[in-house]
Amino acid sequence: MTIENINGTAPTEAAEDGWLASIALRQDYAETAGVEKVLVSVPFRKPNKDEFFRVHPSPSNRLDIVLVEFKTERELFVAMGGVEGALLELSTPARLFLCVNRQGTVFVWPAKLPLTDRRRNDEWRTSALEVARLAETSWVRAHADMNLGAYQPFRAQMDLGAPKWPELSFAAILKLALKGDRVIDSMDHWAVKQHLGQV
Amino acid sequence: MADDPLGRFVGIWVVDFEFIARPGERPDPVCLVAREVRTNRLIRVWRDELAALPAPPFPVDENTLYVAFSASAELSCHLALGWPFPAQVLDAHVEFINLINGLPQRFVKGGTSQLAALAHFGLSAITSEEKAQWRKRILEGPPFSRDEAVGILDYCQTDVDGLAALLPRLVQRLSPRSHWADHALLRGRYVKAVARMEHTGVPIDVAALGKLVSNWAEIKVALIDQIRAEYPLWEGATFKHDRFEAWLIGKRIPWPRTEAGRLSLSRDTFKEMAKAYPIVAPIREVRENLSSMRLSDLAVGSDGRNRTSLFPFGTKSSRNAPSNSRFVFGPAAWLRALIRPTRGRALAYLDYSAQEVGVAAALSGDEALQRAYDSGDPYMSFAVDAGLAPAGATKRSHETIRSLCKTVVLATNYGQQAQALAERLDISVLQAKQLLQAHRRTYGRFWQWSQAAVDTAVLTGHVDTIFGWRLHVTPDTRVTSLLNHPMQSNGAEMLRLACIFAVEAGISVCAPVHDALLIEAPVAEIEVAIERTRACMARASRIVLGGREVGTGVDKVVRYPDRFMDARGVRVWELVVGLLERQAA
Repeated sequence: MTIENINGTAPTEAAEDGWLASIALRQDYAETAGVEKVLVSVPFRKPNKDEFFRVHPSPSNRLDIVLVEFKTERELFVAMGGVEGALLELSTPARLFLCVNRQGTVFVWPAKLPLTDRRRNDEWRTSALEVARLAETSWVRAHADMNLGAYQPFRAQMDLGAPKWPELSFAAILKLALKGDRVIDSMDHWAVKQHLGQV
Repeated sequence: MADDPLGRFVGIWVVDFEFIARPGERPDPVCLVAREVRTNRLIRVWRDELAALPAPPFPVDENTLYVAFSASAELSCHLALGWPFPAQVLDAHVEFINLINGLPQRFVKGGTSQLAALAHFGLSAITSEEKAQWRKRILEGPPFSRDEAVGILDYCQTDVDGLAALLPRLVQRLSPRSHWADHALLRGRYVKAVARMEHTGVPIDVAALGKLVSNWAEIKVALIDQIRAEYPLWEGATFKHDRFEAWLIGKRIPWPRTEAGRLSLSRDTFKEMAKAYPIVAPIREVRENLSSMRLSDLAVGSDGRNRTSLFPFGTKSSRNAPSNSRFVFGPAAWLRALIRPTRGRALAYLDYSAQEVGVAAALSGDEALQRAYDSGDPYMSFAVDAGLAPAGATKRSHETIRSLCKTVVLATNYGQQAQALAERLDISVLQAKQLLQAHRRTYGRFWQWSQAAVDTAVLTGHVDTIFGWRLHVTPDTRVTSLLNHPMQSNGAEMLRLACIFAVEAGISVCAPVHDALLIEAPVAEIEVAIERTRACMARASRIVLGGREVGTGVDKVVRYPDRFMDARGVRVWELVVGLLERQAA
């Protein structure tokens, strides 16, 4: 019913505008779409050298683990369930950080922890943790500086805004990052067998 | 009847005129047939009786619905006869388009004519051959014999009876839509404004048009001669395909081809290739100036006004789609110089400023984008917000980066990807990616809304404007076309409301042009008319955008004896005028 019909007289401009507003269909799709972003893939990797990223500052969003690295295949695994001893020369302690880059991609960064016996490469490990600490409060990218023998962080000078963190728990995110066969929890794991020349 | 969306009306009259329509002229009514659909009361009025009637022979008050197919034609007949307009109009043609808009051709065979609409619902009708035969006889004009008069009235009645059968089918299919009847009547109100605007028309310098037509062969050659030395692609006034192919090979330009393997010479191909390869632009410009100019098609009436159907709701977004060759704003920009107010009159061209950006900011609720729009220069603001230019940068101080950012802002509305953007801007793909990412970061809320709009469209199978103009989404629908649809289609709603308000306020609107209005007034009153029109445009914006305003600008004010000049067409117009003067000398 137009406003003219309701009143039988010419409407005021305000009354007509109110009537038009009452027959308007909603255009706020962001509120009504009924679609949510579902996280199904989480990369398990170091930050790329060109990538500005942030590390979640909460201690509950990080986990110390034993990392197994097959250098030839450039593959990373997490060792659990007592198999660490059998893979000693491939294993190293590492800290898993929850990260997000400027494009909003969530990833888990396994940063190797400094070794207590101060073997070589310690500066790489120490500087990686320093990069992670910086990335808790700033957008940072890290370049592996071969001359320096350490990671060189670069902090963004401009205000790039706060990172948008996923709503999933860290445990659920880890499950996605380590899905498939990325956890070695028995000597029957294909990667172990391959390493031992059994396949 | 509580469930009848048209139950509020005491009477529903289905109406059709037959009329003589010559290019550019107002219609000359030949007969009228009208039927009230509930009582079946029938009225048939022949030509001589029509002229004697001071008003329609049926009620046109608020409680009576007037139904016609392409109602602007019927309403133009009202104006020609000096009859009042009906208060409430439902245009069955517009509603049929709204029913099928976006559906693939296989579902909507035969276009959107009344015969096609009847066929769509499986309703019988006269054959298109029979219809064409009667139309031909009517256009031949009087004198009509008595038998012919009866035949024409009978033919007109077949349209009325067809429409009476069509109406309940349309209502049944469309009424489940939220607020459909109110929206349909609002569209009908716009069709009334369209009839008024078509009736008004655009004043044309008929003498100049006559000179152009009679000297067209020489003008064509002169336009080509401007670039012939550098681009020897024409023989006389004929574009030679083999020369063009050799030229492309020499310049190492890969050119799209038709399915038959020939070089594609379409307007769209030239438009896109000229963006990617600037060396092609002069060829495109000359071809545009020549090929789009079939001056004899320009519809100018004996009163010197360009007048043609605006084809309201003729595009998927519901914008008008007037014929490019008949409408003076259709051909090359330089021909707009033919627009000239008559003695004592003035014209003004008012447009919405960056309407798409303003609509995007308001509907998405992105405050950063709204601030950028409100700054008056959304493109420079984007550059600053994204860190691509320092705070305080202006169009003058950072022209290049502003130009880049303008292209990015507009390209994002169409879902343009980095590769295409890189080609368009002649930058690396990496740089193009960075610019697009910068836009996504800076206006995250807009992107979230834009994606949600596409998701909603795909999930529900359609997307509606604020006042219910629907685009169906099918597997054939391109997602990139959906990205810009809310901006285009709600922008169209805004301009329609502006037309309604301006015309109903008594402003003489000559024509709507995309997101602009051309208005006319006596020279002494043009400034007042401009302010009143801007107020109408601002009000329309507030209604569509929930209180936000898209800015309006006065692009041109032209007072007699000056003529309308589009900046893009000045050079060619002066060239042509120079040629005509030399010939006259």
